[in-house]
Amino acid sequence: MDLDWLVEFLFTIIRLSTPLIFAALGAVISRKAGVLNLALEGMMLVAALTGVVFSAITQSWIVGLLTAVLGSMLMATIISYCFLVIKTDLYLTCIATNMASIGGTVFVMFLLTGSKATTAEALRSMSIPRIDLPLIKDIPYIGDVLSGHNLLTYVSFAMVFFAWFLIYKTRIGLRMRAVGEAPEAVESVGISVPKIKYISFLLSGVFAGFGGAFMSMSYVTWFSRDMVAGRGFIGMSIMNIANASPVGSLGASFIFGGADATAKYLQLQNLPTDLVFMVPYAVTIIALTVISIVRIRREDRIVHGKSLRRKKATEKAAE
Amino acid sequence: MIKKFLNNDKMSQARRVEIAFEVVRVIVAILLAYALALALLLIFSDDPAGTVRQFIIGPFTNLRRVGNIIEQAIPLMFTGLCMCFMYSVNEFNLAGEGAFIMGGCITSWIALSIPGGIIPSFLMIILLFLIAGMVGVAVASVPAVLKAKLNVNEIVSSLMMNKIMYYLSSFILFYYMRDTTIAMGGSWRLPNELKLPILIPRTNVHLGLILALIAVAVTVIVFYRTPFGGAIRIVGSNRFFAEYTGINVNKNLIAAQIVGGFLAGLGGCIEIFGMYTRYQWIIAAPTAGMDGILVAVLARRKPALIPVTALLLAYIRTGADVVNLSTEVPAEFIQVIQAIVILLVAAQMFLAKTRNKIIYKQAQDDLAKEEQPA
Repeated sequence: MDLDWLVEFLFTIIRLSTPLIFAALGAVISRKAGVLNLALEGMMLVAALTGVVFSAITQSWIVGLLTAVLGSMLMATIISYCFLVIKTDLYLTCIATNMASIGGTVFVMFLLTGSKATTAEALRSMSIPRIDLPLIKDIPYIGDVLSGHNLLTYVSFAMVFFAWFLIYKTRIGLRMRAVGEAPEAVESVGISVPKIKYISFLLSGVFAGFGGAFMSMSYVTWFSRDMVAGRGFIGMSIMNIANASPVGSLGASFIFGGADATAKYLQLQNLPTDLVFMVPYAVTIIALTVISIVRIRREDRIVHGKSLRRKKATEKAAE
Repeated sequence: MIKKFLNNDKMSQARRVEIAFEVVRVIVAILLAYALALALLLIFSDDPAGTVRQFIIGPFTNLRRVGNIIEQAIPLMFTGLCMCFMYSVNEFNLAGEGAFIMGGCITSWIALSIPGGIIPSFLMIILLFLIAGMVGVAVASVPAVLKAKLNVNEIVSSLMMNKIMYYLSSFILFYYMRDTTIAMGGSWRLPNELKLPILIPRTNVHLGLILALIAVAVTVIVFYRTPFGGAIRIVGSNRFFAEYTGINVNKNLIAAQIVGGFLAGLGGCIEIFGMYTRYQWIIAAPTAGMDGILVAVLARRKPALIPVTALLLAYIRTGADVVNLSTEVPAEFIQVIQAIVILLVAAQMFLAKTRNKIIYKQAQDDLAKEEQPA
C-alpha cells in the first residue's frame, strides 16, 4: 500500500521533470557558447501553441511535434538576428521576446478559438503516445516507475546523451565551447563567432521546442495562457546549478521535478493552493542561493588553501 | 531652440548629430511599430477602416477616454521610474511587477483590517504609501542582494519573485479579505475616506497624477543633483571605473534597486486607492510592472522623459482597449508591438549606416569650411 504511493510519486517526478530537462538542455547548449538564453520561456510557449494548432489541423502528432520545434527555432532565429545582427542587448531582447510570446500566443489563440484562457474546448491537440518499455515494464515497482511514460520523456533522456555527445565529442561542440571561453581566440583562427552562437541558439530552440510540445501535447492536450509557468526560467536555474553540464542537469531536473510533484501532492491535501503553487518558484530561489554560497565557499577554500573556519581556528590557536 | 542646440560650439559636431539622431531613431522605431500594429488590425479585423480609426482617434473621442489615457499613465510612470533606477545600474531586476502587486495588496489588507476613525484618513493614507514603498523595497531587495552578494542571475530570481508574490497576493486576498457576498474574486469595499480625490470631474484622473509628477521631479533631482545619483550613474556606465574611483559598487547597486522597488510599491498602492473600490488583482493582474520596461527603454533611462513615454504607451493601450471593446481584435497584440518597439530602440545597428553617413558628411563639410578661408 505504502509502496504504491511511492511508485506513483516517483512516476510523477519523472513526468514533471521532462519539460525541465528539455529547458535545462536548451540553457546548457547556449551557455556553452557564452550566451544566456533567457527566452526559453517564450520559445516553449510558442512551441506549445504551434504544436496544438498544427496537430489539430493535420490530426497528426508527428506534424504537431515538428512544427512545435520549428516554431521554437523561428523564435531562436529572430532573437539571434536581433542580438547578433542589429546588436540589441541580449537580456533586453529575451525579456522583450518573452513579453511578445505571452501576448502573441493569447492573440493567436483568441483569433483561432475566441477564448483568451484556453483552447481546451475548441482546439485539442493530438496526444504524443505513451510507450511501454519491453522487459522493464515487467519488473515489479521499478517497471511501474520507469515504464509507461510519454515518448518525449524517453526522448529527453536520450537528448541528455545527445547534448553531451554534441558538446564534448563533435567539432561543432568544441567550437561552441571555444566561443564560450575565448571568442577572440576562435575569431583569430577564422571561425565566425556569430555563426557559432547562432547555431547554439538554434539548438537551444530545438530543445525548447520539445519542451513546449511536451507541455501542450502530452502533459495536457490543449494550450492555455502562460502554460509554461516559469519552467523556462527554472530550466535556466537548473543549468546554473548543474554548472552547465548536461548530465548534471538531468539530476538537478529531478530535484525540481520533485518540488513540482510535491506541490501537486500537497494540492490534494487540504492546504491553501496559492501557497502550494509557490513551492517550485521558492525552491528555485533557495536552490540558486545555496549553490552560490557553496561555490563561493569552495572558491575561498581553493584560494586560501583551507577553509575559512579552519583558518580562523588556527589563527586563534596561534594567538 | 533646436538651431541653438545645433550651433552650440561646446559640443562636437558628431556628438550633436548623434543626439539628434537618437531622437529620430526612437521616433522612427515607434512609427514602424505603430504601422505594424495598424497592419495587424487591417488583416485581422472585419471592418479594417473602422478599427484603425478606433485605434488612432478612439482615445480622443470623449473626455472619459482622454481621462483613461492619463489614468493608465500614472502607474506606468511609477513602474517606469522603477525600471529607470534598475536600469541606471545596468541590472535587469524585474521585481517591479511583484512590488507593484504586493504594494497594492498589503495596503488594501491593512486599510481593511484597521477600523476607520482610529487614525485620521490623511495620516492613514500617508502611512499606507510608506508601507507600500517598504513592501516594494522588500520585494526588490531579494534579487538585488542575491545578485550583488552571491552573483545569482537577477532576471531569473526577480521573475521567480514575481510568481511568488502573485500567488502570495492571491492567498492574502482569498484567506484574509475576500468579500464573500460577491461572485468574482475581490476584497471587501475599501474605505471611502481613503480614496484619492479626483482631479478632473467626470474622469477617474486622481491625485496620483500629481504624486507621479512629483516622483518624476524628485527622481530627476536625485539622478543629476545628488552624490547618490552621480554614483549610480557611474556604476551603471562603467562598473570597473566606479570601483577604481572608490565608489562602493555593491552598495550603490543595491541602493538603486531598493529605491526602484520603493517607487513600484508606492505605484501599486496609489493605483489601488486611486482607481479601485476593491482589491481585485487576481483575474486581471496588472501588467504595469513589465510595461515599465518599455517606458524606461523608450525614455532612454532619462527620468525626465518618463511622463512623455508613459503617456505615449497609455495612449496606445487605450487605443487597444477601445479596439478590444468595439471589435473582435484582442488587446494582447499590443504586447507584441511593445516588444518590437523595445527591440528597435535597443538596436544599436538600427539606422546606424545612415547615422554614420551623416556624421561623415558633416565632418567633410567642416573640413571644407576650415580650408576655404585659408
